[in-house]
Amino acid sequence: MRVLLVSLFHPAISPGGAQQACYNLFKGLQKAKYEPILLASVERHMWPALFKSGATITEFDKHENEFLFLSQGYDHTFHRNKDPRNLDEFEDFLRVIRPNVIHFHCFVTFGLEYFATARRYLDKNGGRLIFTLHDFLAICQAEAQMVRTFDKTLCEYASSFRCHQCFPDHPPEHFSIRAMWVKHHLDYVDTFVSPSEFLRQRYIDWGISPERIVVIPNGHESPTGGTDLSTAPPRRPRNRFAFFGRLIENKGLLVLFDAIKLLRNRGLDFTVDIFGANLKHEATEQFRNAFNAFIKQEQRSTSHRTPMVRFNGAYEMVDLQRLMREIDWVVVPSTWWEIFGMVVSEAFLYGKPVICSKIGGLAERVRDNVDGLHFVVRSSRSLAEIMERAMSEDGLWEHLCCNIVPPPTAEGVARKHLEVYHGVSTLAGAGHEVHTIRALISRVNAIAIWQFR
Amino acid sequence: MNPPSIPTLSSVIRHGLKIARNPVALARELAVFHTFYKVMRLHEFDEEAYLDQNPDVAAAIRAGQEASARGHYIRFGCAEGRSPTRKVDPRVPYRVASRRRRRSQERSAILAEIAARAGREHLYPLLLDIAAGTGDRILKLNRRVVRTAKADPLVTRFNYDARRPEISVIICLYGHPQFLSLQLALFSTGCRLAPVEFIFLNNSAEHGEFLLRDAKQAARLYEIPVTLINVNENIGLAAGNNLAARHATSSRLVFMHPDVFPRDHNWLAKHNEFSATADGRIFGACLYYDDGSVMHAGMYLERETIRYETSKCMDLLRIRHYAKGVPDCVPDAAKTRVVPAITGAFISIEREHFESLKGFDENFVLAGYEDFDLCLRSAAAGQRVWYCANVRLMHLEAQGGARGPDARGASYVNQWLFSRKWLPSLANKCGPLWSRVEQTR
Repeated sequence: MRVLLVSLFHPAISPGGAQQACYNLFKGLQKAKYEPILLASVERHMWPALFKSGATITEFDKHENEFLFLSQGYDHTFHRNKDPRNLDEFEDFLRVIRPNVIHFHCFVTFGLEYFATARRYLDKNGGRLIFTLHDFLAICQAEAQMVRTFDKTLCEYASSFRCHQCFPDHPPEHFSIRAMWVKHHLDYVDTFVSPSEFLRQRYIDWGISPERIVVIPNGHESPTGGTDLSTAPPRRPRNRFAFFGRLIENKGLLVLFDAIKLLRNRGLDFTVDIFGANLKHEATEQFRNAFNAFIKQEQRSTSHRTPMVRFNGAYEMVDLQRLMREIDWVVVPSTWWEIFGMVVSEAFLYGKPVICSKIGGLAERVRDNVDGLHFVVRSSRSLAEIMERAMSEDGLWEHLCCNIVPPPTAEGVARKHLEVYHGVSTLAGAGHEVHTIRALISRVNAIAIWQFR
Repeated sequence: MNPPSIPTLSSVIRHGLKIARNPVALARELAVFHTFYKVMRLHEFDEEAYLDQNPDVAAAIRAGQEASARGHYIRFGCAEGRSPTRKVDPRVPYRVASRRRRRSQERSAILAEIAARAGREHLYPLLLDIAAGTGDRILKLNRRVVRTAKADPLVTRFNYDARRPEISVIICLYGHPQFLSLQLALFSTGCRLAPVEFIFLNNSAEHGEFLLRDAKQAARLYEIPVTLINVNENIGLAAGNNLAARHATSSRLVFMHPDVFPRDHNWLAKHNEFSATADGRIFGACLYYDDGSVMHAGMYLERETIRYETSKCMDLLRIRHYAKGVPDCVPDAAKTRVVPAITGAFISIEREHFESLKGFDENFVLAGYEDFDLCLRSAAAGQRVWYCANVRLMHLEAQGGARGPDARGASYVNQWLFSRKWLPSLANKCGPLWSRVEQTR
């Protein structure tokens, strides 16, 4: 079976959770002796030299079965590609590689019409169209965050008027059209895959019928050095915390900083290590300034002794084993709805309990008082209390460590995907047959009911 | 034999003056020259373009009444002034284009001025000015703009196959070209069951390039036959719809606005059900806002008296909607019935009937009132207009087209024109109760 995986960017070009999950699946399918083919997009501003004149799809750096889609003319308002040549090239590409399954991991940088093209191809040649949801982009225009633009509060659901409140320049009708337009194209998909039940529920609330979405968590790449931290950790206070992730506002570092200030006022002894990158390119200026100011102040006030907070820069998967050995807790203070939280997988992989905001995918994956601790989202006071408990309560750390279940591996996840690809999934829903005329008509009817409601 | 003598300049001028003084001789000379010119252009004859531009010839060939396009051109087309080549904008001599542009700019300027005056002064003196001559001046200007632009459309067809469309949906785009793809995508789900063609008339010349590309892609992607007609100026809704109707290939026309979308998946089946009945020659649909309330369930007229300085007053007709903004359970929205008129956002009409009415009245400037006028003329011709409550669509009113100051100004001119045309005969047929005395289904 030949599977075409369509990915937002290549992880070697721009790292990120969604592209990493797709790439891990690609590797997992290869190990399972299937024929995956990766088509990853790249935008001109990233690496202009990759844009070969007149080309749309090219090979990538001699990686076998990995192709680049040179995305141009993308319209972010209606998520469509205004350059019809790109679509023609994609259609030719399908005809050449002849996939049995087309599995999208994004539509941004490609365009929603690519679902229609894929459907046309599959209707002629047979096969299934799968779409893995990694974000709220279909639902939310505010950078797919479901965080309200005017006061940064968390958004529970989208509606034409609520979206208009976030974007007063666009009338409510714009959002009605946007929703109809997006839903129309999502109708071409046979089965949706969601990495968490939380995200699945959001899409069900938005209008996708429950039997069309299955939950398959993102798989984790097996680390080369194994996950064993070799030496048994000595008995000592469990007061070493760490943050892993992109240095952007909604990862909640400012909440962590406030909590650190509160704890320091209580005279507690602890350390916090910060690992992450993208401060320069992705963070807002406001956040960057606040971050730099805090780190600078930290260095100044603790210059005579070991600093409590250390900023260690970016990390790679290969470093994790070394870094995890030094710490006790992984703190995930995200202030937005984390969909899956790859960092939770990273922590669990090395047996470290997680302290996280009680929100979205994090609250789902980390079980409070079982394999981690929850605190009230965006509350530095709550976080400080939990951190204090974490470092002082005797036996808590050991208790939580015992309950940690290893995160799903790439191979395991690939196997689960095969069920969806074959359309025989025992998971809820993946029951669409290969299209016959009758199936098509019943699909048309089913679609219309949710599309227009 | 002596070689022919070369005429001197003075003899040519003398000959010219002699002919110019004699209209019969002048006409003969011009006719000879015209035929000569046409024959000279025969080598440029483009069969495909000729058939595209003249659907009646294409139909005649299909029906076996005509052997070839070239033959038709030589025998009739040439004398009738049909173009042997594809009409594209660069062929229009600069002189014509600039004159057309100037007229169109003048039209916009006067209309914008009317809109500005309406914002700052009382309506009475403004309407008096329109009635006293400004109105007629705009109508004349508008007629000339429309005539020149209509003479020179670029018609492009995409994704037609052997199936003959049963319904031609006609949409005039202005200002927001993205609605072409949006509508094709959202209508494609329901239109798979019956062959429906979409004819888009583009009133914004600056979007022509984009639309040509977009229509090609969308027609193939959503598997719908699409005709795109580009004109060089904004010819408005009435003239635009008429022009597009001429290029329709089915016998049922559905005029729509770009911001109309399906609401029920079975709107087409319900539509076909009603159009097959005797009452279905011309009818409208129940249109909804996106929040679920009724946008349109038929329209009626109200007599409006504009008073000024105690003694002066003027009567006008104003269009009102039944059940606007209320839930669809109210009787006005829920009942299929005869209404005075239906909105131009959705008019389904038998092509034959439309042609017998000679289409929309092209005197209406840009947009407004032409829909009501068509309905009144249909009723006058004995075909009453129905509102069909079962056909449900969504109309996101005022989203589909750009609405500048010229459009606002045009609405005053159109209201004046409409009142002048219909007030004498309709003065006592106003008000929402008009329909109560009429037949309901």
